[in-house]
Amino acid sequence: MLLLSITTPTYLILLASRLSSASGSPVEPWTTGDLVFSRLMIACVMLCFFADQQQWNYQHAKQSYQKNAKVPPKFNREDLDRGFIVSGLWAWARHPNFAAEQAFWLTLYQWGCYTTNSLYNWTGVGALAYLALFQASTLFSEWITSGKYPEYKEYQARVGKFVPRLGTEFKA
Amino acid sequence: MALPAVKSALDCADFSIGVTPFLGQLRPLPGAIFASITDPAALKQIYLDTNPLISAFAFSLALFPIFLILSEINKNYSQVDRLWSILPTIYNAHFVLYAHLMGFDTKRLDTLLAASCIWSVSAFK
Repeated sequence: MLLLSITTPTYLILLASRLSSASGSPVEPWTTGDLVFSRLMIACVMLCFFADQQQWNYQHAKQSYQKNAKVPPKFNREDLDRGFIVSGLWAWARHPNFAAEQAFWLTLYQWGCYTTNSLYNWTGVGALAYLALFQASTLFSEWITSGKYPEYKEYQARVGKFVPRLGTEFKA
Repeated sequence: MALPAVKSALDCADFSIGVTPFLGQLRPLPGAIFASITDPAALKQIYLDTNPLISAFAFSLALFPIFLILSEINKNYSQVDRLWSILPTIYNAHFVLYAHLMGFDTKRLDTLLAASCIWSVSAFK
């Protein structure tokens, strides 16, 4: 049901599209804003994809390093010993993939607001619930991770969870 | 009519205009579907006559027990994970399909659906 709630902005856009079909209507069928929103959403997907890719490469390298004590190319020993990834997108946020995910559905909500000329509307409940869910689940997973890796607490202090902290970069 | 009478963009965002009047469609829906279960033309009419948000909600309610049964049979909770990446796009596709069937201008909606599909593909585990 949560998954339905994040798509409720689409219903708003459906209603607005009906208005845009009638002649002399107050809603344009297509504006630059629509282009911006759709591209933004795709950019979020790309961010998520790259973040996941970086994580996957790191975990792969870590496993091979642990198996045969040889540091794979493009990685350094200190990074692999640390146990968790802090480079690339993961230097900007502790969970760039989750950040991009939430941003995707938030952008859809904003698109709905834009199309209906509303500053905010009831479909925001879906997006908010989604954010709340991510807060809870990352809290849990970080609790586990900081139990496994002693340096994680320092990572948590330096790097923001989803939103980058200005002026901080984790130096390896 | 299955859709609210809206005059302005802002009306579309109004819960009391866009949603509340249609809540009454939820209760009779299962009965109506079962009554016409063998008649595709009647089912299509029900689909068109039901407010798309309400039909989506009914669908999500119906999924719940199906989920429970499926994950118990398979003892495989990664089914939920996979559905997580597909379901939002299914809902979006339903809204877009409805708009197409009603003959609305759908460029914006189609683009939205494309973005949603891209998301689903990349999120699919």
